[in-house]
Amino acid sequence: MEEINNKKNSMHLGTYFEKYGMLLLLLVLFVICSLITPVFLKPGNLLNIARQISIIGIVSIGMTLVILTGGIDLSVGPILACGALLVAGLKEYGIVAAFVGPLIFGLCAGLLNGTVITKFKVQPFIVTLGAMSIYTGLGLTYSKGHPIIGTPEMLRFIGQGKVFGVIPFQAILFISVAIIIAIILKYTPFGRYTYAIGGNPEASKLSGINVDRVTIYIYGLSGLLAGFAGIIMATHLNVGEARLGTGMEMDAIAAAVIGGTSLKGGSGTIFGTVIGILVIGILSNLLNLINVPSYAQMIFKGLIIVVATVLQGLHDKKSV
Amino acid sequence: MKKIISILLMCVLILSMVGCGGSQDSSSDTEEEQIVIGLSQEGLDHPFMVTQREQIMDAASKYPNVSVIATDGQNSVVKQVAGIEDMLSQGIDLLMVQASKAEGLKQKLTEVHEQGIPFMFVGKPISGTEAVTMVSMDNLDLGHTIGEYIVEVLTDRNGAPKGNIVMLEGIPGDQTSEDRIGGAKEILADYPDIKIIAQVAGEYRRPEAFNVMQDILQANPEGTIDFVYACNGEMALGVIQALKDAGRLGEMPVVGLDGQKEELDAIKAGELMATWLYKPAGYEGFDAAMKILNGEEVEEFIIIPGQRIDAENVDVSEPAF
Amino acid sequence: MSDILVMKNITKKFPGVTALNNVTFSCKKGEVHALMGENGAGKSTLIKLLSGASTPTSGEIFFEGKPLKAKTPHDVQDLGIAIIHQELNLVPNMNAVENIFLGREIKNGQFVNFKEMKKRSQEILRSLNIKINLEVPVRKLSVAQQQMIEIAKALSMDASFIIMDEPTASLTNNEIDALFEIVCSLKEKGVTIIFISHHLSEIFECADRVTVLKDGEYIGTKDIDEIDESSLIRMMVGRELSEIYPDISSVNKTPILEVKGLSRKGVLDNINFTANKGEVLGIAGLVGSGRTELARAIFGADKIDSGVIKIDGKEVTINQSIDAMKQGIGFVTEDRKSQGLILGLTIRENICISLLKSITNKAFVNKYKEKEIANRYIKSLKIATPSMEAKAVNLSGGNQQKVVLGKWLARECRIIILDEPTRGIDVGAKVEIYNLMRELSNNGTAVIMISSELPEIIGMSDRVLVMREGRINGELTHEEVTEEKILEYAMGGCN
Repeated sequence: MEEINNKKNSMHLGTYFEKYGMLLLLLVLFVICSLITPVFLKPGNLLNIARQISIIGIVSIGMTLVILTGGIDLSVGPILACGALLVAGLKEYGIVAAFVGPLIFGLCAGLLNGTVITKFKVQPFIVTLGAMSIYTGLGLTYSKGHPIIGTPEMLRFIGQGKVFGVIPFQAILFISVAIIIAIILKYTPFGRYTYAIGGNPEASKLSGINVDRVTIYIYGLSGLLAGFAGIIMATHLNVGEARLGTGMEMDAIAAAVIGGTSLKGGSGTIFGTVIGILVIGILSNLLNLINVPSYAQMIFKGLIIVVATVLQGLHDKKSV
Repeated sequence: MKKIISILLMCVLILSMVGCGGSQDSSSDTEEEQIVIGLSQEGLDHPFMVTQREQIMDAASKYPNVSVIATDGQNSVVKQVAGIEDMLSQGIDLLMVQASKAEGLKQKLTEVHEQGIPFMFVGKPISGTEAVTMVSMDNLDLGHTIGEYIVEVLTDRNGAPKGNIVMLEGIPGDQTSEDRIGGAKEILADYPDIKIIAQVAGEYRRPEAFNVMQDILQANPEGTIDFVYACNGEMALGVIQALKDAGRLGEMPVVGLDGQKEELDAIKAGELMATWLYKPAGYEGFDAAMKILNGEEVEEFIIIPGQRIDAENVDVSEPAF
Repeated sequence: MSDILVMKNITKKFPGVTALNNVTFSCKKGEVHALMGENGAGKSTLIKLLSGASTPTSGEIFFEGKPLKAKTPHDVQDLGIAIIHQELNLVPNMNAVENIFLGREIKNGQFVNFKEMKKRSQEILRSLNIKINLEVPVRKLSVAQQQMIEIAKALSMDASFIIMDEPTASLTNNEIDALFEIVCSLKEKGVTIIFISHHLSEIFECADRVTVLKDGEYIGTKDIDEIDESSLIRMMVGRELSEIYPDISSVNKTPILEVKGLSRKGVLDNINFTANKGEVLGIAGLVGSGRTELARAIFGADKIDSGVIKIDGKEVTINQSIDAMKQGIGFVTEDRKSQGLILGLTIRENICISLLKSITNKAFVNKYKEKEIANRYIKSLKIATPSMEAKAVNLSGGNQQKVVLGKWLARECRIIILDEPTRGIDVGAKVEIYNLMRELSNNGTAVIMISSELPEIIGMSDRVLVMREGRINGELTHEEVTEEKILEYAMGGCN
């Protein structure tokens, strides 16, 4: 009897850990950082981190959605870059065009990914791998390989603005996107379907869910968010470039995985992804602050991804 | 339980990492009037940039009151910007920037300037910013030099400035490549008997250069190519490999540009005719930085002259990187 | 004969569940010992203990007089124990020879000696009187043939003790007969066999002794000639056969679903039938006779080539599942884990997944209504769970099936198709599901039940359709239905 009770307690501890393990890691990281260098806790530095993670954070949220359905979207980087190019490229046509253009491009690119994946039953990895090359090529063609300099004055607040003179507007956008998507996931049928499709596409179909349509929308949403991130990027750097998003898909996948989203689909949260991106952001900030070259940063990011996946693996085993 | 262990392990790793980093940091905090120079590079995956960093660190080590902190962008503008921000958080007195394209950095550099921190470029010149100076080689000038060299060599070989030449450019549209190739072409334009029979992109990389050179050798039988100019060292080495494979090494002179160690070896072996040192400008850049910090005037462009390495001086020359 | 295997006072506990409670089981050398019990009785758990996959909470296992200390499948193999699992463990793209010697390839220096492996495989198969094409990938062979390869694999390891976990579950009658012949010839070779099954008739054909487990408890061991079928059922089920099935109803029956000329190339051929309100319509037939395919076609999960579906006398177009659902059709799939449930979601989420749109309030799901619905069906279906927020993956088979049922009941279906509704669930839950089905039909729902269990078909159905090779080969009323008649239609017979 005693034994059973003990088991129950340890299981509670286990679930507690699964839920908050990454948050704990984040807190530990935070404390370590502030012990190591006093610079870390300077408000300026913290706000820097908030800004640095905002763009990739928004991309990661889109990626999380896609991964929840059991898919993957490798084309977010080039979509972001194309979005950034469009902001700079469309500035002559007015700020509405420069703002809406990238969003429409991102949405359409994503919807196209989703359509090919569902209608032709091709693996998302392959489709978006191809799309990655296609959108990079489109961007290079559009820009003729050169950066397009300058973004509309009125849009620059998006990337450069500071609320109350201190808080980067980017960070506010990131948090807003996170909250909106989290609410959609949690409280709407669409959100529920996203988890259902990732958990069991066949059962979802037989439950009357239009699996294809939801999947297409999810990829559309991922593209839209990448396009939106492109706007922020372009207005932040005041330039559009075809290779701005290089490597971004990997960071976004890493953030989602560190945050506990299962690549098998069906489980994960936006909150987790936000934690994941914070872990990555804080770690690379710390390593920059203490003057460690990027080689070590890469080793660390890799380690964190692997450890996070190991934690997940333990969690998976337990629940079966 | 395993989970807790993994997390603990993680913490230990972070701590240990931080331990090695931290010690570097603390040694520089004790001195009075400490000067901190920030170095922001676009990446660290090329010997050029690694050597540049080593040169700057080495130069700084001779000044006890100067420390250099460095970040690199891992080939992403976004990460390079983040690195600059992190260095600003720590407080720096001067920023040295190495970037191939600065458009994405301009916004941030303007902010750096507005904060009253001087910045300068090293290794590659970039115009249109508030940079105090740019210390680097001049690719266009190097291109001219190589163009003249080509004329000279062909005149020697064929009795007059005539012949068929092959050029390997880097990444199409890349400024460095355009200047290195374009400079040479400007000179060659005056010699109508020198024909560029092929100008192809080798992406600055050895395997790509090897592939395109193989194709060129297929298309142009023995005796129809008089000269090969590869606009960086890696590509020159790829060309030599292709010539070896085809058994046509020695048929035509090959020149490269960069002066990396393997090129020098190839010159010693008689495989490469010449190369030009493209210096990472670390030492020169640091000297300029110190001048700026001491309030001395520096020129807007500090151009380091190119130096040709060939069979005559290879034994006494140091590679660029 | 001496005992080759003794399992003494075995107890195995999982968090919250006692899978085996003080079970003692022994097996004599050279016998065929049937291990019986409903699903959930603890048979699989017992096997897992033997395979080294898990260890008992308490109790001891002796093999050939020595304590069994196997930790890995490899250790078990070394002892001469081979386990043939229900899900076959063959590599589909390799041929029979490669599979038989997988991991134990005969080598010639550093290279695999295919010639020798083939020769040895042929010898083994010949000794068992089995003819199998050794050249083709095993995925192209029938399930029965694949199973024989597993047996050959066991023999190639010189196994003296073979455990077969429900080997007949997906075999045809002819194949079952062939399997029994092999079992007999194995027995002649002195191999000890534990044969797990819940098909009664099989036991009497081949077993020497039978041990029955029920709900993790040991019920008893009998020699096969001192027991008959009905007493064996009593041991397994704990009650008489007649108590299991609810009474056939006498509700007025009017047609609700009419299917005319339904065809799908290679699968369904000109299907015609009618389902009535208030009846349970049983669909019998062998696996692969097109029963599931028929259900999927009606439900819009697969496209049909031709045919008409009428509901309430009106022709309807069903292109996808949602169309069928709009007509009030529900479909409880055969494989609830891969098709019915989303295991990672909670009970509440699973029950409400297909009616979310109808309980939204300005785009947001109305949590209050959702909980109310989930609660209602958890109560009325007696789903045993601490909370509606428990994940489906953590429920037992019976409770999972009830959740799937709940999902359709929540939509208030008028026609509900159940494919193997009681597969893999324990007898108590089975009875509850039978009662539920009857209750539904009494309330005017048309219940269509596909099943491979003939007693279930006979016990539950008002009418029985028997399918064979994509066609409906016969129709029987409750009064005329017998196992023999069903089999006659299912295996051939006239129309």
